[in-house]
Amino acid sequence: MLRMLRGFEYLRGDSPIHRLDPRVKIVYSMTFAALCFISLKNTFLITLLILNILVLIIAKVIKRWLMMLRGSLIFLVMIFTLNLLFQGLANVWLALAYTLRFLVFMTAFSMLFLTTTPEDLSLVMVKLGIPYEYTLAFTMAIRFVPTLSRELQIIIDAQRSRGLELEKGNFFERIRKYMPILIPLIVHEIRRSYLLAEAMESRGFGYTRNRSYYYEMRIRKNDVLALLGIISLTVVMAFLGKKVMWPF
Amino acid sequence: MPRRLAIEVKNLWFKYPESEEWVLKDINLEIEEGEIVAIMGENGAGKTTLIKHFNGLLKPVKGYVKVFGLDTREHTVAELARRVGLVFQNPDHQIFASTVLEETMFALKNFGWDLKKAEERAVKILKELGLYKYIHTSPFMLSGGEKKRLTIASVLVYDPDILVLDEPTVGQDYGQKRRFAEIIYRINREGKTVIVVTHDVEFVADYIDHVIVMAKGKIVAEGNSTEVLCNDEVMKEARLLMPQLGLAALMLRKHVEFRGNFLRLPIFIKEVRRWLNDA
Ligand SMILES: Nc1ncnc2c1ncn2[C@@H]1O[C@H](COP(=O)(O)OP(=O)(O)OP(=O)(O)O)[C@@H](O)[C@H]1O
Ligand SMILES: [Mg+2]
Repeated sequence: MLRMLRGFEYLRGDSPIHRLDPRVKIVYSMTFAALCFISLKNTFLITLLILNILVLIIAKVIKRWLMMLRGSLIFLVMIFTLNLLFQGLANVWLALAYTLRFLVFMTAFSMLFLTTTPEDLSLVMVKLGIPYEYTLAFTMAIRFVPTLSRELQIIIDAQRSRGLELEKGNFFERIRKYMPILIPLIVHEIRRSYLLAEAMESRGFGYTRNRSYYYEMRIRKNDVLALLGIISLTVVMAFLGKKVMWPF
Repeated sequence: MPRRLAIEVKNLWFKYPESEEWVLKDINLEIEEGEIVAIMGENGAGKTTLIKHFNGLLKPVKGYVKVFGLDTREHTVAELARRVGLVFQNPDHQIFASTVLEETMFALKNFGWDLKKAEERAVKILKELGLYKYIHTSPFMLSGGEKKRLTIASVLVYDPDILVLDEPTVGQDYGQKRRFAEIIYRINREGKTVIVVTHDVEFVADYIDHVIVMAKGKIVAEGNSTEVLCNDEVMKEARLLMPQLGLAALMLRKHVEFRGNFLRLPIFIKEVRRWLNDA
């Protein structure tokens, strides 16, 4: 579960993709997410997936993506089986396609989050006219994923050291066993959020609506090229998705 | 008769699954039953990672860890935890119950104790650690030092043979530290092995004789604390500050004929007397 989230966590790195303007990457993620909905043919979706994977390789974040894939395997299997149950066994290909669609969708956004700093993302949101408070909440939520997963691990370790066995017992017993883990986690996070709020207010957060920003974004030549590439690729893929008879 | 080995670590290598770097590199270690040992080292040296091997929370990638001869790879954490009590650094990572009594009884319930017996036992431990007056209070209302003592109580309660404390003295005042030392000595007198992870050189200098120093995933020194803590090179490598008395002796030695290393005041004073008489 937490491994899956790691696939959306910014990874410090340097690659042509990292250097792109965040807005270009958002366009990329949006269009690829949209492309998933054009066709439910497996071969088409796999083509999209391969294109996405190529981009991840260029961005040098493919390892993280594989980690996310491992973490989300249960989900993918679940989507597949549920679809199979509801659509009937005859529709294996369809069930697979729904699963693949979910995967491509996740991958498209994973590229964005893996290669863009939360600060850049929030800057884009501000530029789009979203109030800074919401933007900040969003970036902080992303920021705390790694901290949260570390903390959760420590709490689980501490309770297991006192003999808690999460694997044992029936369904209801197991749910009850999560209380000693959830309570410290929640208490800890609430306390932390108060501390954070105090620290921010004491540094003048909320003093004025006219914030100044340290970085300004600029569109460069590479961004324009990438954008053109994305647009043409999207048009081509949309056309192919609609017009070509994809097998399966 | 040689004493039994409480903990035996042999050629232990470990890295976390999501990273490439070895966090523990070829650790070899033997701790005898009934010893008090301090494990020291800079931030990120791997101390916490090492002690998590003692009750099987982490399993060696290479090499092995044995607890009273039991290989940790072949036993569950719940089995090993009965022999090895691990007290984590931050009480907030474990406190969850609605009363201090409940919190203390948690492990006993997990180990399937009879409720009445469990309560008696918990009350006894809470009295010993000076927390009896809070027995029906919420653990979240306790002060930092009291919370810390509560976490020790919640582990001591099931009578483990080995007690491992991660950074027990961080953020504690002088009185609290003395209290921890008393607790450590008392349970040690009952025959228990105590392992204390700490940065606190003065605490070790004052109370613990056997010390192990780690740096960058390796053990860089082990032995009597006077020798180890007063060794300039070791302390630099581990980025620890030498205890005040050790430093004082080191400086004095530059000017006068001064012998040996010192961690405790009485012996230091004795040496000063000797030197004054000679001079
Ligand atoms: N869950 C984890 N996943 C990945 N790496 C980790 C994890 N926990 C610790 N590490 C890394 O392992 C190394 C050793 O950490 P460890 O917590 O054992 O050090 P420590 O000696 O206890 O330090 P401190 O004095 O700060 O408590 C550090 O580099 C740390 O970043
Ligand atoms: Mg530690």
